[in-house]
Amino acid sequence: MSRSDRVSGALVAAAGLWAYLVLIPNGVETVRSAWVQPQAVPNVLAWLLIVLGGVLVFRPTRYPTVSLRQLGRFFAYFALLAGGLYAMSLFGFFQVVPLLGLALMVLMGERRPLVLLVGAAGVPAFIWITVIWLLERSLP
Amino acid sequence: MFDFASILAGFGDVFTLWNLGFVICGVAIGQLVGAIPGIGPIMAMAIAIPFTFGLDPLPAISFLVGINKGGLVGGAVPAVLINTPGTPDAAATALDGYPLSRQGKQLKATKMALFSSVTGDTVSDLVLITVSAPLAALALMMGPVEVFALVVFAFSVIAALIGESVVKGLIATVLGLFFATVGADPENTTPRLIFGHYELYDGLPLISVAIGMLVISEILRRLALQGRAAVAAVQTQVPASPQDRRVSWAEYWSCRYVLLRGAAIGTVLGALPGIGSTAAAFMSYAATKSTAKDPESFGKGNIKGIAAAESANSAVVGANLIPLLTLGIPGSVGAALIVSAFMIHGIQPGPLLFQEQGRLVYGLFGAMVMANFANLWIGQVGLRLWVRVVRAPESLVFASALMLCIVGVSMSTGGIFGVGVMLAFALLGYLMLVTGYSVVIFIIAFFLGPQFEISIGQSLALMNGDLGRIVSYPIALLLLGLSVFVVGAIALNRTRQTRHRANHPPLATGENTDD
Repeated sequence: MSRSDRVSGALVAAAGLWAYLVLIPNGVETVRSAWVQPQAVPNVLAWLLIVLGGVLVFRPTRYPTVSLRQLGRFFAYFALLAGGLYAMSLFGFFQVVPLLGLALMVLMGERRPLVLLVGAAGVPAFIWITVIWLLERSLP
Repeated sequence: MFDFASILAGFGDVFTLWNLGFVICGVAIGQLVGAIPGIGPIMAMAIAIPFTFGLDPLPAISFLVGINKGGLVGGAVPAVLINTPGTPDAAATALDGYPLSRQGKQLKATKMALFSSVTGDTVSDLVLITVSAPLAALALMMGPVEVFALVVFAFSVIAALIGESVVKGLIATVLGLFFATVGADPENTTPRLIFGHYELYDGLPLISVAIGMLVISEILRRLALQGRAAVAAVQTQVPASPQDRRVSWAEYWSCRYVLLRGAAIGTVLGALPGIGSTAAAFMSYAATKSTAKDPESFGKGNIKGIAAAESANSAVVGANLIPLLTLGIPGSVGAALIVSAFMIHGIQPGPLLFQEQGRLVYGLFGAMVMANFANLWIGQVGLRLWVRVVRAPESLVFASALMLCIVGVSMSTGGIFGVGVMLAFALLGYLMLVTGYSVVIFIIAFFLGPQFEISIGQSLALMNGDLGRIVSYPIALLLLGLSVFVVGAIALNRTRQTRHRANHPPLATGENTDD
């Protein structure tokens, strides 16, 4: 039961270490004089992540571990959204969003034609009317 | 500070047909989405914020406040009908609402929830209107050292939000603060952790972070949990008599003390950052049950149970704005979203708000009062309609919400980059949710981070690097002392809970995302 906390604690500590050794030295410019150097607060926070992550590894709670099946489902939805976003950057919002809506609903298990039609055509039409026509804004 | 011209002008601004339209739309949308289990007012507010970009600040913020207030009323509908609270704070409402529904009194239960909600909300708004300006005047006397101590105090109060593990709560806080350091360094304005992405020079966009962590991650978590988006099934009894379809004046009046106690509990807890409406609802319910002549009737369909829960959870909304408007500290996710709406419109919440935007603040107060009336009116008309909404297909609801999030963030951040940031934080939010880290604490720490860092630099400059000089700042000392006291009290309470749990079987735990 404590595996979840051990893994997440180790990941947090590793992220803190990576931030301290790689991210901050490469991503923060130093200045000659300041009351608080630009890297001071991020460094302190990175150290806190290392320490707190370590504490969690050695003193975990009984938080339940998420199932791999659940994680897999999450990443399927996430990949679909990320792919849709990439496609939007290439082809444009209104070219992609009906297909994205349809794919999301099919992945959720929706099979009723009318509901699919509303999701794939009705919602994008509503967005078009609201954003382009009413708010007079552009979309990617 | 007490400029009557601003007060009159603010109230004058809000009582126009244009603003009234936005308040009514907000309340109606709030009630609608509150009635759909899985969406709720917080998610609806987050989605709606970018769409208010083109509006003036007053109608935009009135619209969002309307959604928040309407959502609390709507949240009671599925709690009563299907024992599934539309919002976490309606969980206590289900205790007596659902038994009433099974007796064929679902309309009586939902109407009692509506009247109680409006009563609690109105009391809380009156307290907000009365105390916020004097508190802001006091807050204006604070310098950077006091602000630093105040942020430390806010963090200590936020500790109340920390779940079962203090270490995880601290990690969520540190992560929020770490991501807040992305962008220009506040003292030297040198770029920090942006790696050539100059879109991040002003920091990670709050709206992308908030929507990614609060909305996208939550929707994806639910979808991943259930596999297929199920359709809620509602089976309700047909009311037997007209008395079962309405709440009589005698019934309402018999609950007056329960309503006032609920409103008082909700207002006090709402004014403290970090304590949500769910806690208020359960506290009020427990207080009502323990003082009732017939405590055994609670949980079996006692209308006072609904009155206690709904008056308290709704009273939190108005009081939540007290720390936000007076100190610039959001005490809840709902308040943090209002902050992002303020910031989208170029307004910085905090004590200066009354001085610089007094007219807007009093306009907002007017809108809140208007929203209460709108809640009552729309609720009376719409309750029968919202009962049908509970049956909306989740696949359509969630797909639409995801598409609206993409559009909204793209509009408010000016392109696809902000949507990418939103997706990245959705991933982080999901991982935090399934491993038991508080997303709420993360968001509040992320918002307070820049203010915290600026106040450290300014305080060190003022004290010339000598921390011992803090003794010449009594208010700061008082706040730091209060912080130690709050942390001590929380630690003591936690130790008691641990001892209690050692003697009793553990209860299920989860992320507290109430507002």
